[in-house]
Amino acid sequence: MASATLPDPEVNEFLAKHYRGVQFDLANPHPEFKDATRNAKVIWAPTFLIEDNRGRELRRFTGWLPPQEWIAELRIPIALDHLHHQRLDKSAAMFARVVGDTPDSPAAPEALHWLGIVEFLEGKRDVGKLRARWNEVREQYPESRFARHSSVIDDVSA
Amino acid sequence: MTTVWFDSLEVAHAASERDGTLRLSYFHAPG
Repeated sequence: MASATLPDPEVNEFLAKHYRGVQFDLANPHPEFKDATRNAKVIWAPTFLIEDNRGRELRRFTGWLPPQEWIAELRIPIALDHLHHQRLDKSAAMFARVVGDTPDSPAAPEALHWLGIVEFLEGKRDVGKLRARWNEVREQYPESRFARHSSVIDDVSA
Repeated sequence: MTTVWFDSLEVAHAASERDGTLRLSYFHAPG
């Protein structure tokens, strides 16, 4: 699938806009990359490690996905980075895009769960907004782990 | 527009900081 996803024009355009990347050949490591490879503690390939521009890890995942689902996976750390910097409108827009563009992707339940959190923060800690989104997660993705995470809302009073 | 893959960590990190983009490390193996 690497040969299908990485050269995909939309993937390329997305990466060029949002990421600066380095490729690490685990079998034949570049001399400069040996320390970084060791520090990353990668145990399976392909592994994708996403960090902010100061080197703080935001996400890592293993294995290829089809182009649109792979892009969805790479939108999550962008949205988290916006959230870490209190850019709540941009964070909400990016999480919403994951759900809107790729509702069947593995990243969608997580994005919807986080969207509830961002809207809660945007809305001056309005529990009603959080409850609405987390109930959506439970209704739309009942088998996902994020449905279980979202079910804690039942324990929160209005 | 083409994907920006760098041969140098230092240059990649500088580009990430300059462009306000995230860093992506792709660890792969042959086969």
